[in-house]
Amino acid sequence: MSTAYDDAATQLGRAHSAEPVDQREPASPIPAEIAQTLELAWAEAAGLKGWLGSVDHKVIGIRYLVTAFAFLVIGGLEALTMRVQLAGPNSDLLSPEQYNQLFSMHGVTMIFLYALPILSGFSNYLWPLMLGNRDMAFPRLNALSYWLFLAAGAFLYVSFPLGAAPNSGWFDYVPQASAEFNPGPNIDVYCAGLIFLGISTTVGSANFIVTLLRMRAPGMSINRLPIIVWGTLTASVANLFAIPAVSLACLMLFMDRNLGTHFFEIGGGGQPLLWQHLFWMFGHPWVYAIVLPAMGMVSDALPVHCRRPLVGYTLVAMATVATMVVGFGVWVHHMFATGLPTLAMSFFSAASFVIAIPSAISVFAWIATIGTGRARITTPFLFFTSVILLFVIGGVSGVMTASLALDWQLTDTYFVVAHLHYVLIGINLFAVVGAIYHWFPKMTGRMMDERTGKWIFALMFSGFNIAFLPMHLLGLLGMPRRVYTYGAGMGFSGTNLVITIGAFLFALALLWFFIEIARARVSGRFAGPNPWDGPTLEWATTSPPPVYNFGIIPLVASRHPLWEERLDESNSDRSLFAEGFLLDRDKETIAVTPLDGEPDVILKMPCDSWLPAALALALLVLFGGMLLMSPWIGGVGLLGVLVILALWFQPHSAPADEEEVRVYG
Amino acid sequence: MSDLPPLVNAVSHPAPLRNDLPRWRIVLGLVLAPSAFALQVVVSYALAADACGEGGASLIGLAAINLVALALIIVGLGTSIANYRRTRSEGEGSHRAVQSQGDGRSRFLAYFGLCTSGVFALAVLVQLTSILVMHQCLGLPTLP
Repeated sequence: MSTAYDDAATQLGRAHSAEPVDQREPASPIPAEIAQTLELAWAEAAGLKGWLGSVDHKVIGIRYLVTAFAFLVIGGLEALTMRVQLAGPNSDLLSPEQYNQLFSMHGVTMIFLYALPILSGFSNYLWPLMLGNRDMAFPRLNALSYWLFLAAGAFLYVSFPLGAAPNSGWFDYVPQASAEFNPGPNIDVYCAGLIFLGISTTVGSANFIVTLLRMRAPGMSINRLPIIVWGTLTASVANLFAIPAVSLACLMLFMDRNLGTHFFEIGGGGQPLLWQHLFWMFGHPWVYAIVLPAMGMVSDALPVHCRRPLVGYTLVAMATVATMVVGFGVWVHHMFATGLPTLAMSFFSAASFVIAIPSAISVFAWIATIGTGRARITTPFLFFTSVILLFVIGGVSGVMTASLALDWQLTDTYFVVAHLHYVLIGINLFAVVGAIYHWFPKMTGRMMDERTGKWIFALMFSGFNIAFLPMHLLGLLGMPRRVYTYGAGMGFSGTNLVITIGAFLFALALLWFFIEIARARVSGRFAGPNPWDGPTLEWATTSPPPVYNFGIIPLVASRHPLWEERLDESNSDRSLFAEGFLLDRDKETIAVTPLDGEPDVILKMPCDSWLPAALALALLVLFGGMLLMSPWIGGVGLLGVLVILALWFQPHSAPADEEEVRVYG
Repeated sequence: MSDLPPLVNAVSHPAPLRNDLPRWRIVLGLVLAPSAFALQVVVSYALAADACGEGGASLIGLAAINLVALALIIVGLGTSIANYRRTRSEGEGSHRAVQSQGDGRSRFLAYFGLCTSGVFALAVLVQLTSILVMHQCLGLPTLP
């Protein structure tokens, strides 16, 4: 499978050239005679109106990425502050209350405001390009999802400078979080903030599901989907089932604290353990929701750098779905130390062991892909292969805690902190940084520097392992998590100092990575349409893509439309790029049938609108009123929500009769 | 939209055997085994909640639900195997080809169901070990 890419790509990281890495024309042509028409139909309004009202999936995707990275920086600074506090024994840099708020907000930020939104950013940007279409199914809902995420993030942080941020950990156990033991506004911020954020996640998930079912290129049947699409689809379906559990739990806790109900109070006939059940019915599927799309990115991008298709595509797609289904049946393994009956817990212990099987399928598929391909040691390749190693370490420590007996020894120790960071940073952050290196050229039209990238990888990988590998030892030695300090004679001091040094190295690598993004954005080498020689449809259009993605909607004949010639599969069909549906009358695109990708209907897509941003603002006021228990503020917010929804749903003329099928080429 | 499909005829339909296998059979092959697992976990948990406590567990109930789960797994596996046999000629190559390439939409979904059934059959069997290992909670005799 030798290609022109071999020559071009070997120059990456060498002498800077004004020539793009890939000098070929894009596989999907944009004929000049239709480009201007499409540009006029799809372009955003100028100025603030266009900025606030954009419904372009690429703009929204990049906004998600930037905002999630901003929250990553904030959460990282919180972590570094904690590491300074823990670097030595008996430190008094932070008070216990400050430490409680820091570790709570660190968890909330990383889990809720970084880990899923960053993946939503990638999926928002990539899905319509990979699926060969022009936009998501509901562009305005897409914009709403982003603005709600931003508003909910601001809401959760507004109390932080006032010293009233959530302070009972990211899973907020009662009775510690009840009004009796935690009377301040901290927990109310947490409850209202998570309900608010849940609306964003829910509408975003619904949009992804419908987009997958309908918004694909003709011919892209269900067996030709990229794995990232399987990952995000699975996560989105799971979110629709999981989010209501935590939203309900938060509402019940808010009512317990403010309206005198007793859902979680024993004195009133309630059950504190009900919180843990509801939270982890959401929480464990959520953990998979924030890794499966990232695993999908590895499954799609790693083979490009191995110059061969993914080994075991069908098995990996199946494993993605199976992991999530089993993931719904293991929530009690977070509650092994709560005194539940042993036989009842043993069912969940068994399920927790079983989940290793589908998880391992992806790992073996990646290893086989590397082993049987012709790997090129690029920066994305290094990040993706490190995902495999870190996933195995985090996975094995996870299987260890699936054992009831061992879990009782390890629960609430630093061993669990090590495990969750290996899983979440290992599978999510390392995959994300690799994916940025891989898809940055598509997003900006410029390459990131390879040589610097390898140094960044080395520093990040070293810093991460110096920071988190010793935490296993600390846990085995018995250091509990969520303590603001420890005594000098407890044997934890040296290890904690090493961990703090590692954390700062890791942070330094991330800082360097962000600087490198900024540098490459301005002066990186031009990429051309397909600098990595990828097989999927996003590489068929220009870098960066035009606002309408594809001038002519492609007709797909295989899972690797751009590798069909070299794979020389016996199927003689070839995907068509230069001829296809000509959809240039206003803002048009095509919808297909869910299973086989047969053309079904021509859609008229909505234009820019300020309504999504306004609705998010009105909801922010509504939730602010809820937090302050102010009927006036809440009433103003509710009124705003109703007015905006009325405007959003006002009837408009349906252009069904205007549908006209034309073919280009 | 009868005008839309003709262009698509430029390439082969992704599921030539789509009319040979009813969709409900594909759905059964896909969902029976995961449903058995979900049923087993949730109902067993509810029944076993007091197993080691004062009241003791409903042995008959536990046995019944696990037998139902096993039966569903067997039916699910059988259905998915039959589905795959019916569709395996839809694309080129053997099961290795469908594993790696996924050609043929009906065959892909049938094979997807077959693998899913296999994974969840294993899950249900592993869950059964809970009852075998924790048999004292159910008042069953122990080995000498």
